[in-house]
Amino acid sequence: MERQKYIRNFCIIAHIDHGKSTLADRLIERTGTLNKRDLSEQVLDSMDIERERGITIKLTPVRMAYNKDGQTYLLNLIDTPGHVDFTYEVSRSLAACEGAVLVVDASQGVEAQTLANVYLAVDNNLEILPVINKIDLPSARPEEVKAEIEDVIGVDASMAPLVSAKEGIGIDEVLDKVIEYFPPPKGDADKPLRALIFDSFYDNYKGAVCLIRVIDGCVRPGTRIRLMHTKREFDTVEVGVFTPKMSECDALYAGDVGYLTASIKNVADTAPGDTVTDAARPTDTPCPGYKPVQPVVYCGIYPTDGAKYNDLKEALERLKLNDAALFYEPEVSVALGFGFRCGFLGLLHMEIIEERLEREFGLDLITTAPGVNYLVTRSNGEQLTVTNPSNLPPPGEIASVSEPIVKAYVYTPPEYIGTIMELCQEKRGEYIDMTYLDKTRVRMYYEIPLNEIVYDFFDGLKSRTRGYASLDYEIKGYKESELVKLDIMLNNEVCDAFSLIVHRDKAYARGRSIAEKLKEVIPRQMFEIPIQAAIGSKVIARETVKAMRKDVLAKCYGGDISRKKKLLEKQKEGKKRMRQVGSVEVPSEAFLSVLKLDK
Amino acid sequence: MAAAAGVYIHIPYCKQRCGYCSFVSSCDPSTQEAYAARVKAELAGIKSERIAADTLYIGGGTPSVLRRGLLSDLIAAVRAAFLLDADAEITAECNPESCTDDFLSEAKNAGVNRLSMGLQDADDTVLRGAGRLHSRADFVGAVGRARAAGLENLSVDLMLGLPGQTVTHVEASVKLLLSLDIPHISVYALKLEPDSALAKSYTPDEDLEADFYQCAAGLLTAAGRARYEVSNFARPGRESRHNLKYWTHTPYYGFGVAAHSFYHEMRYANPDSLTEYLSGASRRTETPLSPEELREETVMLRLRLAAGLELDAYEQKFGENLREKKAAEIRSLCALGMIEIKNGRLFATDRGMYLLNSLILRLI
Repeated sequence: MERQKYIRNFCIIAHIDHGKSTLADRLIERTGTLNKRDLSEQVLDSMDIERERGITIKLTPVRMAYNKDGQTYLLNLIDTPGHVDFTYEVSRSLAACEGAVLVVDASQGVEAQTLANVYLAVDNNLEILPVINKIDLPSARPEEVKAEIEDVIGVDASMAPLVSAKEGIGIDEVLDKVIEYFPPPKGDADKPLRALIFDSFYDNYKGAVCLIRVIDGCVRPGTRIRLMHTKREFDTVEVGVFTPKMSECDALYAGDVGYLTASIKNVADTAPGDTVTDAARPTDTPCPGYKPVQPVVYCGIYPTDGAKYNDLKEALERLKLNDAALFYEPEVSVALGFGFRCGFLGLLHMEIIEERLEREFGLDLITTAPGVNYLVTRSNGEQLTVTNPSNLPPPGEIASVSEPIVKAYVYTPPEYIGTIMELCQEKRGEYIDMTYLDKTRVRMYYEIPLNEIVYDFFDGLKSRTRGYASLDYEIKGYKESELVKLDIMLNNEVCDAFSLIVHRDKAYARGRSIAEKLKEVIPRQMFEIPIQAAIGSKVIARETVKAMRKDVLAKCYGGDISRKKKLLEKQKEGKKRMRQVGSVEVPSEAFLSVLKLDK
Repeated sequence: MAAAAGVYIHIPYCKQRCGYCSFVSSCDPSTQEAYAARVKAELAGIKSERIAADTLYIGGGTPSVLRRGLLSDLIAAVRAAFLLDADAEITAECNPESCTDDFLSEAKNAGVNRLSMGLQDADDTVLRGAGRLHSRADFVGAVGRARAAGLENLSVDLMLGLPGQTVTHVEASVKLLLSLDIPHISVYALKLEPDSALAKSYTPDEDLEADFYQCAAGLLTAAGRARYEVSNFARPGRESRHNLKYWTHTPYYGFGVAAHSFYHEMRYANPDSLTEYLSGASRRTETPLSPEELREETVMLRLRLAAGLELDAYEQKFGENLREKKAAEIRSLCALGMIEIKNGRLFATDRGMYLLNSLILRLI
């Protein structure tokens, strides 16, 4: 108990660009955890994509030692991802903390996107310590921003440290306040082991590395552990803390944050939210809040160059090692050849995987429109699950189709209630209720088909509320619905890669906008190309790409044929990004552009 | 025996730069003598055994703006460096406004027997818009003077897609040339390189250019000017022997700034900066052609010709039976009416000729 008094577990919540990573760097530097030379800029966000997007996907905890009043404190900083796709992951990492430092930019003030995570922290009973950052900027208005924090978020900001992480101002005060403000971890080291897994990653030598917060008890090398939800048992090989490098230690006790390895081959066995206990002396109460990982969004991923199928396969295998939430299985498309149907936690997760495949593995990809899984009952009573629209049986053989419905909670300032209601109605949402959480914050509860959410709900919500509303959703179940398959035909041949399952009422508008978009992105070819959107045999929209009439470079430049060759090389390059769909050459961007139909 | 070579001399001088131009050209005549001396030095450098040539093309720029005497000098230097055939086709480019009697008589005396004149369009408004210095009347006058000087073998350039140009203008321009009984006509579509003045304010419409081309090609072929190359129409026997070398991988030697050459299965390019060329500091860059490049070039260049690609010769040279290797593409292009195969030759049809790049891409 004495030991726990000197531990603080906390995270930092901030809007993109408000300086979370810089502040984390300064804390690490000030506590001497790393010296300036070793501190590559922004230690915590280690993936390129994270640095570029300013978001955190993988969580990296850091243990820091700090002296205050002659006493050494251990401060565990746990980083959190910042997106709704990872709400569950965020909630698990918050569950490992007692406090959250809320970084707010002194000139920008509170940004809407931060709110969802702040509320999540409040719901997890975390203490919130506001920190006003970037006070060195001429446009800083710390007093106004403090008032805003109290107004909008409803936490006391009077004693918020004024900081410039960039200039190193106020860092000590943040560390002091973390110790004063945040409670030490509760828990009892003598009770049976109970530790929360809040993330895991794959290490080539150690296998799955579980990031854990020990709630009760203790774990050390040799402890036979049981994962309570997956019910698997392993022998602990190593425990340790992040400094921020992995540093082995003898044991982790109640209140500690660290890692554990146990020759676990597969990160899928170490699901976030699962509870680690001692197999010989198990606890009877697992940590609350566990949810199994389940993909909710699916899409087809194909190599632009069909010969790269095996490269794509290997890349997915590699990513899967580290990402239990990624699902994939081989599939074949008439238009795109061999590829994979992949499942994701949400749209951002999907984008991140695509980007990592392209960037880290150098692959050129074609992605089909994201969809969800549908439950289909055939006329003969047989049931099947369809994630790829091409596998939907012909209309005559279908008795019914059900689609996943989510409970969607939209958090918003009251002035956007009207516009959000409109949006939810357009998206076939069913209003359930609305709660005023306080005078500045409303929670609207709708039940909406997931298929509408994955389409462009986020973009709509963001643009209609200037980013002030946020969305949280969970799967509620399935509901029968009037769903049809929308096909796109190019030069009178169905291109399966464009097929979609949509609600009958939406099919016409969707078909028309896809046809219009394709007309823009499919280059003119030697013949006229009709583009048709159809439900079954009924054509509901039609556009035409006119035949190209001239592409020759006519001039003779005194025997200089280099321009002609250059043009030819350019066209050869262009052709590589083309997919032959029947007689039509379709640029790979076309597959992407129909996913992003602008209003 | 190897086919006789062609010789090209670039004259980078103009009175005024046209808005669409991206050739190396200067409006400052003060370096003309120094330039001619450099070209002569370059010619002298060819030496060893004299190479047989049967065409000489003096292009630009505007060769007719050279100070009197320089053109004859240069042609004499070519004769000294090459074994120029007695029947050689010797072409000089000129513009109507600088096609003076002095120029014509100097050209004629130096052995020039073919003139290539830039008209571009027969409408004065269109001409002004393109930054041309001459009028329709100037052109008609120049043609008369050329003939009076004994230069009968005339070629005239038309440009399609100029600002303000309509199909009526194109039709009138072609008809003017036919009424003047011009035997060889080149019809170029305007392609603006990003470094030309006009590119900043104007983008030619390729559909419109296709309409213009169709109109011009129809009138010209009906009047007995057969299309022997995508942009070139001539009365039989009046084809440009020099330009044909470019499309048939016949050796040609280019001299002067930015001039290009092809011989010994290699491509060469002179520096494209006039200052650099005048300094004599840099030599021509050499680019050897891989067999694969040579093969692709063959398809690309031969298909520009009405005669097309001789399939047996192609197979002999590259060991590849195009008919078998590209069977599906050839079938679909034939079905689309873009190409035909007749008498062992694969060639672009009327429809296919203006879509050559797409055809080539499918056939290489």
